[in-house]
Amino acid sequence: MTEARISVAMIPIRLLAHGRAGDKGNRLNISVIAFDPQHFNHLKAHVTEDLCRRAFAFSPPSGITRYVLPKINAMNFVLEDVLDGGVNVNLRLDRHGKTLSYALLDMLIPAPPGWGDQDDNQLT
Amino acid sequence: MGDVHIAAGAGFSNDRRELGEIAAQSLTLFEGHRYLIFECLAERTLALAQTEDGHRRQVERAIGYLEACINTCILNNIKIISNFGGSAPKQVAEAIAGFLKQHNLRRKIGYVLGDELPVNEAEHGGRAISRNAYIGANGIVEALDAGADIVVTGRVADPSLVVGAVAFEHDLNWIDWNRLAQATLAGHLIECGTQVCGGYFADSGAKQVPGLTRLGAPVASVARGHDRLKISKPLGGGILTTATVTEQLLYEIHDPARYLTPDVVMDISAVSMQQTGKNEVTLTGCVGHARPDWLKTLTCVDEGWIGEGEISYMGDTSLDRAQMARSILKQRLENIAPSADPHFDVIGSMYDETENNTGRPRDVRLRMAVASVDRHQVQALLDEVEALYLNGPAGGGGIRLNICARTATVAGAVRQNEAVSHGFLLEDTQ
Repeated sequence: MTEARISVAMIPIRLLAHGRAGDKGNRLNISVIAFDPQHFNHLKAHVTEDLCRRAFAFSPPSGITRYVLPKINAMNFVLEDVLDGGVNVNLRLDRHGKTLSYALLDMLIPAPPGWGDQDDNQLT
Repeated sequence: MGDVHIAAGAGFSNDRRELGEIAAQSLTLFEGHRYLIFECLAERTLALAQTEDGHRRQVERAIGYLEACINTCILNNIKIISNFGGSAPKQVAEAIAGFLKQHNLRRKIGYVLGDELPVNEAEHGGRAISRNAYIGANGIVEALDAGADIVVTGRVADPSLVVGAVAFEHDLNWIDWNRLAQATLAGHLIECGTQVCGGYFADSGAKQVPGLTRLGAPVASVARGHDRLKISKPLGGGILTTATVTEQLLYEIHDPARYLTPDVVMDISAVSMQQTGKNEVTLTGCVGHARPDWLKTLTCVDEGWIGEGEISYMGDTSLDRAQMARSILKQRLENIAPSADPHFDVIGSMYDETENNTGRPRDVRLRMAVASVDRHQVQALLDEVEALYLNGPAGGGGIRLNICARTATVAGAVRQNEAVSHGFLLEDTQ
């Protein structure tokens, strides 16, 4: 009973992966890097271009490309036209879009199999 | 043997001054060729440096960085390469020579020219301020070849600061793409200073970083004739792990197989890394492809002014009142300047429209930003934010108003032979 409930639990990406946003012109990139290599395939299956598009519903990019780097258990998302013209002219509070990595990392994905079985994996 | 060790003493124009000295001290722990770089140019730094005041600030900045570490560098024969020459590398080099003379210090000072391009009056409505090409490492190598201990550059591509040192010490062939890519990777990883060793990384949970108050500096160690690259952080706080290195590896990267620089196209798609010691990571597998025929250029264009005004609200209904203030401002601005097109942020609930909204904020700050070529108009619109004190919703406070220059940066390209860089030695330091 308990196991069945855990298997459908949704958790934020940031519990499984970390990342950083960087800007160049009007383009933003966000890395998503697995803390534990064992979770990389799970992340690859769930952190998709489509999920990224949903994370940026408040400022839709004109294009999203995902690059997969299995040797370093990482993915790189490149988002086009999310910075209203770029760092030096846009009127946003965060002109670089540096804070936007967490817009993606807060998105919910299914917990990987076995998640929550150990005490140190408890959801916080 | 023959390793080149490069430490980063700054990752942006106004980095912590103590980092340069930590970086220099870190280098003293290594045998071989030792270089300290300061990466100080952002996209619009060159536009800001065009005024007399701006030039004075770039000179002060360069001398400020050197002041903190020059004694350690001289004592240990550490060479310095930096783009802190900004818009006027020769003039900044001369100012550095004056500073060193004043302190009875002797160093040969080199500088690199060739990035500055003529501004096309016809383009951008005559409002272009500066135009520069991102040049590669060959000018740095020429300055080092001439005997420079300190090399002052302008708009050199960031990783090229490191490529210059490695190409000079390892006598790299300019078509040795894999070695050039390895040096570029070293530069890419350390050019943002502490960002590879615990800076810009800390979070609650799994991303704890010890010693954040006095973060240490990264050192890249490039082996001769081998694709091994070591990144370490010998001194100071912070951590250097495969996690911190991976975040920096992908920072500002688009297609990992094609990172374009003036020296080489770097391909990190098959890079792997290993923790080879405490605060030490070793990377292999970086390869290079023939450099692009074109150099990236950046033109800075005067776009007038940006004005920002903010006001705070507290309590359970703070969001309601901030939204009320926003609607009042929209209507008042519509009456004064229908074309103003203001931008609003409701800080404290900015991402409420996203699907994982977590509840009502109790502390909200409304921000309005406007842009115009007419400074008076920007001021008039900000006056409306200030008027919210008496003429807006209840309990508004903490108003701040700010106006700053709006400088657009327009990317372009020139052929490699249209912006050829060369290195020189400042005469009175020879």
